[in-house]
Amino acid sequence: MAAMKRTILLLSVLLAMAGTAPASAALLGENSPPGKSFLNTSIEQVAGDVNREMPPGSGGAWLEGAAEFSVAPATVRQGYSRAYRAVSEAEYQDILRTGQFRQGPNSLEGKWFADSLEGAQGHARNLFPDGKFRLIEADLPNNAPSLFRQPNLDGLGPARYLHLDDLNGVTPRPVR
Amino acid sequence: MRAVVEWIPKEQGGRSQPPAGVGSPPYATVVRFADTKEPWPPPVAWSLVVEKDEAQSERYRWIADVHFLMKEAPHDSLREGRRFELYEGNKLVARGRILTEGEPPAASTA
Repeated sequence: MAAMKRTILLLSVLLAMAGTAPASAALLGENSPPGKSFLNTSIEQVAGDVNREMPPGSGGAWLEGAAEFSVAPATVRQGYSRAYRAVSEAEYQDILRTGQFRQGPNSLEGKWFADSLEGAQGHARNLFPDGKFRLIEADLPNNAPSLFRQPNLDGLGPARYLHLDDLNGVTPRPVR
Repeated sequence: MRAVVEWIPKEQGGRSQPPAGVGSPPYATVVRFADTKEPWPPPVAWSLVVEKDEAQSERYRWIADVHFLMKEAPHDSLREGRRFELYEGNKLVARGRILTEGEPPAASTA
């Protein structure tokens, strides 16, 4: 009987924690390095559902075979700016596999990011006319040595560039 | 347009090595024309797509097809003989020149 009571109590506690998890994640994410919170393994990452795959170009984040995804904190940490990037299917897969930005064989030694999601989508339409692209977001340090801000890149609004050296520790996240 | 593109070696402040130059998506980065009076960074920067002609290119010196990424870009600025620079962020990585029609590709950007 006592064992049953303990089990019921434990289940109640777990259910209560589950109900408050999203708010806790957002709150703790504010004071933790982007994507580096201890919540990474419990709340900020959720299991991927292979049945929810979305077509390339839809901006969807779910991809067959992916196991875990980082969820963006609701607020951006002070000293960081959230920015967006359209990537190829190959770069997307590499991001899912490694959890970081890396250089491709035909790419720059850094990465351009649009300050707005619309800017990234505009680049995607021109860089990937077949519609096979994914959208990534990341919180970028405002004081990175290589940070180069462009007031208007390709007529699509503000954009910023960071060398890969300054993207170590930056967590890319699929845009949902 | 056809262009000659010369990559700046790392020892001179450029990339550690040139990009592959082929494949999808293509290599595209910000272009600046050498004769421009615009400040840097300019009010609007435009990305130039650079696609290497493998048959006529060497490792650091390419013959390439170049065009703007965006259809809204100032395409008339890509004029024969005009010199340009390619930037990755604030780093100058290559210098180039639009080839004139019938010009042998052996000509240098210098």
